[in-house]
Amino acid sequence: MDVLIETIKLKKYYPILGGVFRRRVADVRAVDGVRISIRKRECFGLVGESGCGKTTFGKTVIRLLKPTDGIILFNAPDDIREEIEKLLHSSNQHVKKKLEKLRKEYDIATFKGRKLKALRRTMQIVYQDPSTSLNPRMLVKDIVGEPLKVQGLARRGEVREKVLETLQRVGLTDKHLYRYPHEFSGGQRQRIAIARAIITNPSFVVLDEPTSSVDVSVRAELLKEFQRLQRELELTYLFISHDLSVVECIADRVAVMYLGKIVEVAETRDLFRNPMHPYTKALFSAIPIPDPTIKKERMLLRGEVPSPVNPPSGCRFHPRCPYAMDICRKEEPQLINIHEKGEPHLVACHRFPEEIEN
Amino acid sequence: MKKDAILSVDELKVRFYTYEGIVKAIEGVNLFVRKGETLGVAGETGCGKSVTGLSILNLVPSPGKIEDGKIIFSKDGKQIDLLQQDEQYLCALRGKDISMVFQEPRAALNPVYTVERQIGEVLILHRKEEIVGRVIKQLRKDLEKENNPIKRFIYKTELGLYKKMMKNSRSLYLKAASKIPIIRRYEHRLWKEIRKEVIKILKEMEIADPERVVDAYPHELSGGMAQRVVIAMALACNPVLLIADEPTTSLDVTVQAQVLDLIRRLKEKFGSSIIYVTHDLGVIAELCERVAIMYAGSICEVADVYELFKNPLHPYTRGLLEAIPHPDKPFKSIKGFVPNLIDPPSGCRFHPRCPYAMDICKQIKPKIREIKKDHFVACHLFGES
Repeated sequence: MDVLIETIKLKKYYPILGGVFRRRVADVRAVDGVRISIRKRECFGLVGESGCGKTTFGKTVIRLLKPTDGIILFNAPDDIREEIEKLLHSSNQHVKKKLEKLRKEYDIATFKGRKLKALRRTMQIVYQDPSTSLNPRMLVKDIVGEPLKVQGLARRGEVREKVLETLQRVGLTDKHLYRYPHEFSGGQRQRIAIARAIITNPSFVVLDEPTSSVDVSVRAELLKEFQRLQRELELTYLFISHDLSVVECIADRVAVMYLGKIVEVAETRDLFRNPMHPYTKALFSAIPIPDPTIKKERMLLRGEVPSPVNPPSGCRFHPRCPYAMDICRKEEPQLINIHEKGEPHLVACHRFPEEIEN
Repeated sequence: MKKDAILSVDELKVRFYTYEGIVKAIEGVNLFVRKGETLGVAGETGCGKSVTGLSILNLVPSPGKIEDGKIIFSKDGKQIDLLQQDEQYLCALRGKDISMVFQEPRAALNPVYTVERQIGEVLILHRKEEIVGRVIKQLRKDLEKENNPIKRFIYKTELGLYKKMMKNSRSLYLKAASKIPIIRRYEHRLWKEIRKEVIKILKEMEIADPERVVDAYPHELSGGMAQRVVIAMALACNPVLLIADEPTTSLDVTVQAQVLDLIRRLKEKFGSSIIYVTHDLGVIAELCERVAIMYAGSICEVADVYELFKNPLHPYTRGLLEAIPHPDKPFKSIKGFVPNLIDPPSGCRFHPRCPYAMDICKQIKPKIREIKKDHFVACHLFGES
């Protein structure tokens, strides 16, 4: 499987300024060393509670935010990725120079100016709430046509035609061209936002909770739309959501995030059938099932998510974890593959390697 | 009205008079809640489920008006039509017999008062006698022990003020006393007692560290904690009926699970009835005993949870249940849009989206009928059989 995006130790800190000189007094560690690889033409789900850094991660990957540290490889050939990986572990001066050179070419975390602008064409985002992400004073044709204008992708005469073509693709018609966003229902507004995202022919689209602001009856329709577009346009999705039932249906692989870190990554079915990390287990057992005959055992978490300004030492989940051991307080667990063959199932928990060894 | 119901809503009609026209938000809603049961009210945005909840306490916001209908609440064996009562009566009722929890806990709490003040306000309003009584008892005890004549004098004055408060809490004399600096200190005893009571209530809500939360302002609390405080406020007087308007929608799943668990246990403890308004059918399946499904301002189906999920009759209920994403099934949705309620469709309001629509559906609004025992449906498909 080809990898489209790989992030290595990606970090994004927001500074907290204080004092007379507005100095940096602390950091909100929204994303703290995330390693993820997203394959071509897959829908990669990212789930977690609010404030765990999933939206920040989505925005950083497409460089709407500048990462504090780390590497984002977009569409890099396999051998280059392997080489960068190798070079990262060495501290030789000569090697460092070589790494710098490679990063300048392939690591989009270092991109600037014109190069970054050209990149934007291939990466787009759909936001959570279409009533705030669409400009209320612009007509639909201007909203959807704006990326073309900014990127210089179409001549003036062609814009209308292209906009119409894209609108039809998402199920709207030419009578919607000259209307304002407030004239549409929530589902239709989200379609406009999707049209705006796909008009530049991107290969990667971040969907940031795209269905959380619409009703149940419309949600299914939007999800169908996403799947159809993915097939037709060969898109790769990063699907960010806190609604686990939606992710279960649409994603191919899912990563679970907790307080700026990835705790578990696996193929969707595998993850939902046997979650390994205690946090994933608790998260899944909290989903209400729309069937009164199923009464499942709850694994209720105590307390609330700690502050990302001052995260707990060692494993970040240990203050709430029912299985916490001494080692959890001191050492941070690494993501480890617990499947011997087939699709990898990565877990970051101290309990796992030992259990398999025994 | 059913015999065992503690609240029943009959033919409720609510309209909103806006510039664009009259919004027929609620059109003939019939509901009843039995003692100690949890009734779930489900539906899409704008179907009138929140307005139904608000109408029960006569809290429909300004351009809205309750046009017609009856809301009968049985209190102490008597049946009272809440819509016929004056504001003063309702004020005494709200928070005491019927209380409400809103969706957004931060908006429901006043940002400039501490938790102690806000829960205390409910206690002063509805449980004054009990608390002032306790204060007087304490004062009398202190008075017996005290030998210092100055202190005895102070205690006696305080006792006089509290006795006055017991008789008439709105007396001008008390109001004046609370404005004079040194005499004002008599209130300290009252707040000390209230603080004890508030901590006790917070402990019941399973809030960790209630001594800290008591002095916190709403912005210092997390979402889940704030919602617990709001629930604590609502349950401070052991109401007979609790109306919960999407209390967990703004919370995360893990916190939602905690809050649902809490509501379930509190219900068992206090035996209150709950009207739980939500759009999440998963929550309904977990928490409720009966469900009412609403669409465009009217009820289309009411049944027991097991019955409703196993054997949904109304086409809208079926559509809603099928629209829940399931990993092994393709996505299904209800086609079309929720109608504009200024100009709702004639006859059955669901007919433009209904796959089984007949001619009669366009002309006559179906009445809600009992098809099986405790299974009510408003649809022409299930006629006079």
